[in-house]
Amino acid sequence: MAFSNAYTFGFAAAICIVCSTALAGVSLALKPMQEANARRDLQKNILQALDLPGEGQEVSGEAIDRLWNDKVEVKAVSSTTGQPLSLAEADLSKNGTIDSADFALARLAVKDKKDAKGQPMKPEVLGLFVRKDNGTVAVPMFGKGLWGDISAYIAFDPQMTTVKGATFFAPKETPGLGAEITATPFKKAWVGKTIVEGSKTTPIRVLKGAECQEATDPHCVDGISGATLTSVGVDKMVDVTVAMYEPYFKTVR
Amino acid sequence: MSSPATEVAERPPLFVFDKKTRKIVTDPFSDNNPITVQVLGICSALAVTTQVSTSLVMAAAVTTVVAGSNVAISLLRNFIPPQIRIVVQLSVVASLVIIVDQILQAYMYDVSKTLSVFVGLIITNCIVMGRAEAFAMANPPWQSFLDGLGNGLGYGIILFTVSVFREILGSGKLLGFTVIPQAAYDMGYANMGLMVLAPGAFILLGLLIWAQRTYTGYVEEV
Repeated sequence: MAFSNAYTFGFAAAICIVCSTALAGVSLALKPMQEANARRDLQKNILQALDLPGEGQEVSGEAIDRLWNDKVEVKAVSSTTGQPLSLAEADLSKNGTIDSADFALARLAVKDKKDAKGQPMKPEVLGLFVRKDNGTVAVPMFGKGLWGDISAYIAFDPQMTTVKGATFFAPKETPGLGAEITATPFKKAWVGKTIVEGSKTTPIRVLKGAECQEATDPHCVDGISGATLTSVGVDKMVDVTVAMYEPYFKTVR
Repeated sequence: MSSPATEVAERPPLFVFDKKTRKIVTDPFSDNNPITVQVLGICSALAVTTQVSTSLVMAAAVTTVVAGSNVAISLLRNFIPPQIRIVVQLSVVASLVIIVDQILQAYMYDVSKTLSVFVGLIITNCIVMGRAEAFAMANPPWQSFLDGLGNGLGYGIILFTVSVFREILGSGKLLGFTVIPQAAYDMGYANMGLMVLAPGAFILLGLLIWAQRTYTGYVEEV
């Protein structure tokens, strides 16, 4: 069967139009649900760090929204003075919101902005997620693992000294190795560790087994065997974030 | 949309299910399995089989795409100019894959997170394009649909088998439930780290192909 050139071009154009219309339609129709999912996934992690809904319980779907609205307050503090900012003052829209102030805060630190010297820029506004009933504060942390971005929400007591809970996100890390930082044993290891030594702030180190007496040393956790680079990434992430939040720590201790 | 070009003097029934047609579906399960016999789609078979649940979703996604693209290509087969047929097939396949990916992100967020890029990579899965080019371009929609279904399921069976072994041996679980008793761990049993890595899947797949070829007597023509 012979096809004319005009027919061939026309056919190609028609296929393009049909395919792109279908894709645009599907994408538009599903976008609200996808965004809600991504948002809830993030909320679930923060809630978990704040020990909500509690040991061994699972929430999903709209229950996450309710729990979030009931129990969690989002706060913004200045990264230079540590003083609280109102969410409006934090001028979130300028810094590229996702679709709400809450998540803009969480994302601020992850932005790879570099200053003139090529050093990563410090965000001006720092986010905090406060559990309303007991004052536990979750701090968002962003860093790099072996294969991609990792993040964590580490919850502290209101005086910002002792870790109450931690959750880790490692979507790109190797399953069974680096991704083990998202598993319960690693998360549990953080509880009870402290970021204060004497009167000074000190980060919690992630070290190889022999270098860290995990059971007795309150300033380190045992890294994951076979995932050295992911462990180093967590170590660095905590180090950078703790330093970044230092002005805020001073205001509450 | 009517398709006068496909009109023939004696039009066969649209949905037949005789022995020959059934063979289109069952053939790819073993005798002509896309993974173990044709050795296509290995990349994703290695990547998504650490857990049974993800491999099942992946199998469903591939089946949907290959069956859907086969039907679409088969419907269009008399209208596609041969010079641009590969591009047309690719557009259809790519669109379907993106739609499946979007649906997964909307309705099965957690699974889509674990599958990550591998859903998108179905586009490059040779099984899909291979079936479109080799079968759907020359056969009516119903047969093409069955062929797609068969190949998708044939792919799925292997994925499932590999993932069952990998999840049990690699993490002591099946579908997320612990199956290796704690007593075994207490006695010194340890999960096999090799199984969660790609080489573990490679070895399993090799053993599977060996077992299957011993059973069916299939020999590669040299």
